[in-house]
Amino acid sequence: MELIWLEANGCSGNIISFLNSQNPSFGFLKQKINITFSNSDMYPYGEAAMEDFFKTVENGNYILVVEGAIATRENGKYNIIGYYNNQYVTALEAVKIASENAKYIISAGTCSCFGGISASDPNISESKALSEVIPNKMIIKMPGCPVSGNWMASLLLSLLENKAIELDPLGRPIYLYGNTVHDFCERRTFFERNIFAKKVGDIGCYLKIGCVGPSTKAPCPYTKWNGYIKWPIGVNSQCIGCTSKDFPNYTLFKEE
Amino acid sequence: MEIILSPITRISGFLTIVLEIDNNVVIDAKCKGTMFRGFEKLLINRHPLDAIYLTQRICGICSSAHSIASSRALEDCSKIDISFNSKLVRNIIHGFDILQNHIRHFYLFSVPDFINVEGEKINSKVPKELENKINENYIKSLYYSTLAHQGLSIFGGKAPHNHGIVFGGVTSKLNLYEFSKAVEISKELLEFTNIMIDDYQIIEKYYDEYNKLGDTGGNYISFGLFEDTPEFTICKSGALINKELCNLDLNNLKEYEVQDDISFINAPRYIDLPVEVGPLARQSIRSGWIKSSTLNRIKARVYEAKLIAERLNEMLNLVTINQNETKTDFIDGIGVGITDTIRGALYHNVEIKDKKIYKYNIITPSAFNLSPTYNNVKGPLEKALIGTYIEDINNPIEIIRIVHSFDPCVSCATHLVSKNGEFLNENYFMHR
Ligand code: SF4
Repeated sequence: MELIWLEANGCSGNIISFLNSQNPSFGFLKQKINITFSNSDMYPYGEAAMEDFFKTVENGNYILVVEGAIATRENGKYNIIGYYNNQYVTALEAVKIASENAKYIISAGTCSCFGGISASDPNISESKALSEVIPNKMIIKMPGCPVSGNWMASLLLSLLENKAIELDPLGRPIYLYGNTVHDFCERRTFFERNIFAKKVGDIGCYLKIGCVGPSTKAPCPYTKWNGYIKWPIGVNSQCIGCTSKDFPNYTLFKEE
Repeated sequence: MEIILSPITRISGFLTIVLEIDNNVVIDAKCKGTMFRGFEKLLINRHPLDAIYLTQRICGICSSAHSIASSRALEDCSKIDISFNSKLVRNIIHGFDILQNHIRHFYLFSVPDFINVEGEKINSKVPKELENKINENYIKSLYYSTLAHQGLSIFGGKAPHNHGIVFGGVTSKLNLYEFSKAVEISKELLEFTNIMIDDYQIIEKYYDEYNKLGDTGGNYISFGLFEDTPEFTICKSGALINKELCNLDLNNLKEYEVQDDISFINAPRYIDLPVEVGPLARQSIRSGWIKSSTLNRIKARVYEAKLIAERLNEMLNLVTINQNETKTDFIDGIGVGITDTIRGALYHNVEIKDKKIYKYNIITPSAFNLSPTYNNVKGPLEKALIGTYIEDINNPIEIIRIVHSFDPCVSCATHLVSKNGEFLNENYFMHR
C-alpha cells in the first residue's frame, strides 16, 4: 500500500505530530506502507515530486491523508502545492485528483475535518473542510489541533490490518471519538465536588473558566499526549475543544 | 532559461524557487511562499488571552515560540513581569522545542541532501561505511525528536501547540515524578547532540565547497534567546551590520509589501537592509562575525543544539517544584513581545481596546530569510542562491542544499497585508 500525505492550508503540525507517534511509531509504519508523496518526508523535489504524486494516483493503491483546510479563493490560488507540466497545481486541484482513486481518504486535523482555524472568520483564503470540496466521498475524520500522532498511527495500522473502523455520523472513528473529554477527565471528582478553578493553573475543574470538555469528543484523558505523561488538563489548563466542529470560533479563556 | 522548483520538499509549508540560469549559473532567484491564512486578521475582536494559544497554530514545528512572543506582547501591554521560575519553565519548553526541530531538521531534512538514506538516490561524496553510520543515526533521530516533544509536553501538556504557556506565567506545577522524567530526557538529548555534531563533521569534510556557497551577505540580527534568564542566555539581542555589533533597536525594523501573483511573503528589513536570522546569526552575535554559508548555517544549528541541551539540563535543576503562576487581569494598550527562536527573530505586536484584540502584527524569522526582492534589493535566501553553479540543470541539488540550510518555514512566513489593492490582513506595522 502507498500513502499520499498532502499538506494543504494549515500549520503542517499534523505531520509533525504523526512523526511523534509511538507504538506504532512512524518508523514502524513506514515498513508497512510506502509514503510516496509528503512535502515533509520525501527525497524528490519540484517536478519529480509532483510526478510521484501523479504516479501514485495512477497506480490506485494508496491511502490519501489530507491535513490543512482547502483554500478555494481564486480557484485555489491561495495555496499552491507544486508545479507540473508548465502549470502550478493548487491544493484544491490536488485533492480532487487524489481523492478519485484513493482506497481510503483521511482528514488529519481539525482544519481538514471541519475548516478549523484556517477557515475561521474572516477566512480571506475562503478555506473549507476537505469534505466540502470533495462531496460524496467517504472520509475518515481525525480531528485535533493537531490530531495526536498516536491516534493517526493507530488508525493507519488498523486499516492496514483490515480492521473494521466504526464511524460516528460526523465520520470520526468511534474507538477514538466515542466519548467526551468530560466522561473520563481526571478532574471529574473536582467537578462532582464543585471545586472549580478560578483561573488557569489552579487545581480543580476548569468548567467555569472555559473548559469545553463536556461537549468535546476526544480520547485525550486516557491516551494522553506525547509519551503518555501529560495532556492539557493534566498541566492545569482547560480543554479548548480542539477536536470540535466549531473550534476555534468561541472564546478559549473565560473569566469566572 | 527559467527553472521553477516547486515544491521544495523537506521543509514546513510550500516554497517555490524560481531561477534564471545562464550557462549553468544562477543569475537571478525569486522566493515564493504559496499559502495564505491571514492570522492577524482572524485574531481581531478575539479575547486577548486566546492569542497565546491561537498564534501557535501559525506553525506546527515552532509553535511554542509563538506562545512565548504572544504572551510577552500581552504582558508588555499590561506592564506585568513574570517570576524567574516562569521564565525558566518557558525557556525549558522552548528549549525542548528547539531541540525537536534542530534534530528533525538536520537528519530528516538536511542529511538526505548529502548522503543516501532509504535507498540510493544521490552520488554521495561520503564513503559508504560513514554513510551507513549516518544512516543509522538518521533512523534514531526520529526517536530523539519525538523524545524532545515528550519533554516539552511534561511542562506544556501537548506538542505541537502547548497549553502550559499562558498570560502571566505557566500553568504546570512540576512534581518530582515529572522532574525525574525530564531529567533523563534532557540527558539523552544532550548525548545525541554529540552524535549529531559528529555526523555533521563528516558531511563538512566531504562537502567543503559548501563553505563558499549560500552567502546572504552576512548582516545578522537576533531578538535574544533565553535573554530573560541571564545565566542561561544563548544569545543576546543585537544587530551585526557590516560586521559591526550594535544594540538592537526595534525602530529600525520595517515591513514592506511586495505584490506577487502567487506569493504571500512580505519583506521585513532592518535599517532598510535584508538581514539573515537563525542559529548562524546567533552564533555570530554571540562570538564574533562568521561568514554566511551553507555549511556554517548547518554547523551553527547542530552546535547550538548541544548548547541548548546543556542549558536545558542546568535549567531543569533550578525549577521550583510544585510552583506555578498565571494571571487574568490584562488591560488595554499596546504591547510588543520579541524572542529569537528556532529559525531566528520573532516579533509579536498587539493592541488591545475595550478588552479585545484591536490589532495584531507578527513578523517571523522565515519572513526575514525568505523575503522577496524589495526596492531592487534581493532577500537573503535569494541573494544566497545567485551565482551558484549548477552541474546538472535537471537536478539542481546545489540549490536544494542551500535552501535547506535556512530551515525554511513557509507556514510562518506568509503574512502579506494586501493583494491587488485589497486588504487581506488588517495588520500593519505599528511599533510604538
Ligand atoms: S476540567 Fe473540563 S472535562 Fe474535566 S471535569 Fe471539569 S469540565 Fe469536565
